[in-house]
Order: sequence, then structure tokens, then C-alpha cells
Amino acid sequence: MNKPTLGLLAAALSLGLLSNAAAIEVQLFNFDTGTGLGLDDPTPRAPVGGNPGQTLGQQRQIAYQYAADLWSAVLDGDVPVRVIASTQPLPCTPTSGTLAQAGTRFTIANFPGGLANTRYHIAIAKGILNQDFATDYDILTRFNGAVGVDPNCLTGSDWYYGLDGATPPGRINFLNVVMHEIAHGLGFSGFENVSTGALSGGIPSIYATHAFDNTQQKQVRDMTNAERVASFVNDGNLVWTGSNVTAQAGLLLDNAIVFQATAPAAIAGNTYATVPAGFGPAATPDNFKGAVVVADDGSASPTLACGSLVNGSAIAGNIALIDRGACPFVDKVRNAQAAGATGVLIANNAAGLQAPGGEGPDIVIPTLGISLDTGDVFKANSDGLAVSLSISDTQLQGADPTGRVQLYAPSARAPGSTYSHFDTRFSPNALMEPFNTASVQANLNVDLTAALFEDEGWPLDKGTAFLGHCDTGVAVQEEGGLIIGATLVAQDRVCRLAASNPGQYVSCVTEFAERLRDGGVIPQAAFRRVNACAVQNR
Amino acid sequence: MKALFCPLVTLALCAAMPAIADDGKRSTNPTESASALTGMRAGIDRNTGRFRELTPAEQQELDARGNGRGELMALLKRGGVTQPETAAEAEAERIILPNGAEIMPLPLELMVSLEAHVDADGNVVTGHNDASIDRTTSKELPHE
Repeated sequence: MNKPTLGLLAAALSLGLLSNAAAIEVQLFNFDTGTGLGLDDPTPRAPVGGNPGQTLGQQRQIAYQYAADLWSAVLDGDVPVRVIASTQPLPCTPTSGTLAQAGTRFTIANFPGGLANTRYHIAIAKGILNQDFATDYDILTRFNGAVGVDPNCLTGSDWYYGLDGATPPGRINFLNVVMHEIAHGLGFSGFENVSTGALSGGIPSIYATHAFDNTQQKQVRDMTNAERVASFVNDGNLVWTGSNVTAQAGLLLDNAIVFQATAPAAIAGNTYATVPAGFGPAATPDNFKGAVVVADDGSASPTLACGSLVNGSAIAGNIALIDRGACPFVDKVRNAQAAGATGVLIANNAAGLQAPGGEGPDIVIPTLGISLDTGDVFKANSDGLAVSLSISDTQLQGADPTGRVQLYAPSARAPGSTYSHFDTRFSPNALMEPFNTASVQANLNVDLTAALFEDEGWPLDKGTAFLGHCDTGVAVQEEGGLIIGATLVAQDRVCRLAASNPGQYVSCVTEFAERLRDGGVIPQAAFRRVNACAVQNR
Repeated sequence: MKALFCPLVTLALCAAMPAIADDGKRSTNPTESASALTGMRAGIDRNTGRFRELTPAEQQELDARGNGRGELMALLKRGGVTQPETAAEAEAERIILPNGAEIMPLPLELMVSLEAHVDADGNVVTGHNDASIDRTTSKELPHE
């Protein structure tokens, strides 16, 4: 293939030389061809979780393609999006390693149809313009092929190449990770440097156009570099303002858990922001409630709780309030735990919230971080102070009080995760949270990711799924992120691969639709239409 | 509404790999940028959602194995593809079209990496790593 250069690409856009292609298709380009590794690995493997591949390379290709087909179905338009695909060994040790790398290869600004002075992922621009002006590869993805192959790479673990979302313990769902990484390349990322706040090429991203800081009351795109740096660690206060995500958040997110004072009367009912510690059990409405007692270790700075508590009789059975500073968080909590505390509040000693970190496998009581201001309020009202966690009637878990979903902005900057992900407060877990969780089932649900794409300008397919020319009547996607129709389209390809005759194809599609019906995902009438389409399309 | 009609004669992906070509535009030495490619590798236990950073020994061992940039450059070279490594290199390749549109490659340092490690309980935990951040500016959760 004669590779076009960036200049040729640009000329095509300028002159409108390239015609529209077929339907939007996220195309994979196998960069492992001929290597005998990665996507070409001939090692025999038994089919798993609906993945009919019989070699390791085939299973990787099928799962990779499944992810590409899902995004192809969700996004609407008539252009290809070209993705470099590779599964080769990446740096790894028995206990740690790089799993994947991904990103858009080009950005574009000030094109017709886009917002002025705004930098887009090249794929979004192609979707907006519905023009294949970029004939180069649009997205780069690669995954670690040593996992599960090299015994010295993340020893004991392996990718799960099944397509059914039934990830066994200890495995990493390959389909989920591919969906996640391709999504970064399609549009789920800002180009702003999270360490310096610098804009890429001096132009803010479309992502920054919808990211908003509740404290500064500014869009990320409108901030100075210093303001952006501050915003990227403004935990809980960096939110997405796009209307589609906000409108659909209520369909997906659970009601929020709210921390509030229940006594004394002066502050009862007031709510306060918290941040969970990095050790110990999670705080819940059941394990984090009751009276709060200020810790006293008998030292000159008694509320630091760096020594054994001398007011153990008051602490026992209650929540200890401790100030940050002078010794590790886990030592403070151990001292409170030893005194019989049921939980710990650690007040920051600087502005903002600070998640208490550290290693504490012996810690069995929950810990929450609170702000310096909240700590001061609590100490001023310590006589009879009591708190609780409760389920909010109005606020969503993973959204601010106005319903705008939170972006990941931990107070300790997490490079690569900060900013370009949904917040880990999300409940249920989301595909685009920074950490892969076994509970995510991207084969059926992309939660708010598609809505975020739509906020950025991506056209979405709001129609029904077709098998060949047959309309199944099943919506490609629904508000809230269900992508059942898209799944049918992706499964159609898998069934064609697995079947050696038309009858087997029909059986494959029908059995898949049966599982969707039996799982309550599609009604009986839809099942019948899918079955009829399979017969028609065999 | 659409259906995909990719030819499925074999299990190969929809398109073949492009011919191997090296335009020789850029000389890259992966070791030169290694320090800029190493960021925080904190992860979260997928069951509890809790952070767990790598131990210093784990960090050192992973660092010693490089950042994967060499393998990536080899991969791209095999496919006849080039990609700038740094923001400065990317800006040097910026193109302004007559209609005012501007196209610029994204530097590799701004691409996202997903890291994983095995925790003390044997769970595989994952988290992202931003190659653009120097270790000295990457902060783990404070311990005190």
C-alpha cells in the first residue's frame, strides 16, 4: 500500500478530492501480519466465551474486530475510521506491565462544520464532515501480547478473549480494554497537558470545550495553564457539561451516597464533601454512622493521632476525627482502630480534599478524607457531633448536585488517567473509568460514552440494526448506553466466521438472540424478527 | 442504520497490512526519551477500587525493561508509518490549509498507556500511564 503523507491528506481535505466511502466502519489494519506473533499467533486455543477462534491470533483478531464492529454500529456516517491494530509483547515483569497504548494519530482544528479554534480528533472531524478526507491511519492501538503467553509477564494472569462479558477471576477482558482504548482514539480524551496545563498547538480540544470546573466556574478551554493544572486535581469538581451526557446520566447512575452531619442542631442536615482513603474497607451507610469524637494522643498536637490515643474510652464505638500531618495516614487510623473506633475522618491540613493514601492491609475500619474547612466546622461543633452516610433522593453517584457527571480529577494527579476519563465515583462502573473493572460489559453497554461522543459532534446511529438487508427492529443503541442492536451486528460477523454452512449461521444467530431474550434484553417479538433476519440473511 | 459486509473468507482482519516502507524522515532513539516516558503506575484493585502503587522494586524492574517506545517505533516502521514523539516535533509537522483548517499529528507522548500489576492477593489491577509525565512530577497518593 502506498502510504499517503500528511501533506496529501491535507490537500485532499482542502480540495475535497476524496469521495465518500461506504458506511462508517472502524477498520482494523493488522500490523502483525507475517510476524507469527500477536494477531498472527498460530498457537492453538480452544474457543472461549462465544469467540470461535481456534488459535490465539484468531481469538485476538475476532475480539478486536468485535470491538471495532460495535463502535462501527454505534457511530453514524459514511466514512471509514482506520485503526492500527497490534498485539505484540510490551514491557512486562512477573508483577507488572504495560497492557495497551492508544490514541488518535492526528488532530484537526478550524475545519468547516467544527467549532472555531477547537482541536478535534481526526475521526470526529471525518464523522462531522462525513468525508473521508484522511486516508492515513486515524487511530493507533496496540495491546500486550505477552500477557498469558510469557510466564514472566503478569504471571498467572491472562487476557479473556470471550465476547460474552463473563470474565473469570484473574483475567483481563480483552474486548472491554479494546473498546476503551479505541474510544480514546475516537474522541474520549483531551489534548491538554495535565501536568503543565498547556494546550496542544495553542488550541483547546473539543473535550476541553465540555469540561467545566465548578470551583473556577470556567470551561477548561477558557482557563490559563495554571488554572487548568489546578482544575485537573480539583477532585469532584471537574464535570462534563455536554447536554447528552447530562440528560442520560439519570438513566444510568445510581443515587449518590451523601455524607452529612446529623447533630448538633446547628449543623444537622448540612452535607460535606469527602474522599475515600486508599486503604481499609469502603465507607457505606451501614458502617459509617454515629457519634464523632476528636482524637487525643496526649501530645502537644493531640489531634494528629500519631501516638496511642489517650481518650480511648470516648473513641470506642465511635468515629474518630483526626487531623492530617506529621505521620502516615495508616498510623493514625491504626491508633484509632486500636482504641476501638468504628471509622475515621481525616481533616486535611491544606485547602481542598486529600485522599488518604498508604498500605494498610490490617486496617478494618473505613476512613474518609474531609477538607480543612469541614474539619474546623466539626471541631467547633464537636459537642454531640454525629454524622451519617445516606442515599440521596436527588443527587446521582458520579455527578455534581446539578446532575453534570464528574470527570476523573484526583487530588493526587494520576498521569494518563486524570481528565480523560469518567470519575471513579461512578456507580455502576463505566467503560471509560480509568481502571478496567470486571463489572463492565462493553459487549452490551457503553453507558455514557456514546452520549459524550455525541456532545463532541459525533453523529450516532439512532436507527435499528440490520442483518444484511433485513431490519431486525432492534435499536442499535438506546439512551443510557445499551447497544443491543450493535451487538447483533457484531455477532453477525462472528456467526459468519464460525459457521461452515447457512444452517449453522442461522443457529448461531438464533442462539445468540435466545440468550438476549432469556436475559430480558430483547422481547420475544424482537427475537422472532432477529431469527427471521438470520434465515433471510443466511 | 447499517450492516457490515466485510468479506470473511479468512479470519484475517478486514484489511491487509500496508507494505513495509521507511520514509527515513526521522531518526529516533528510544533511550533518549525514556525518562519522559515513565509516569506513575498506580493501579486500582478491580474488586475494591482501591489504589495500590507499585513497589520501588517493581517500578525499577519495569523501568529497566524500557517503556515500549522502541517496540512501538519498530511496529510503526514495519507498517511504513511515522509519528512524532514530542509536542515540539508534532507542532513542526503542523499544516495550515488554505481554508484555515489546521492538521497536526498527536505526539506519542500524549497517547495513553494502560498499565497492570499483580497485587499481593494475586489480583490483576490496572491503571493508566501517561508517557508525557516525568516521574519527578508524578505523585502517588500522599501517605501523610
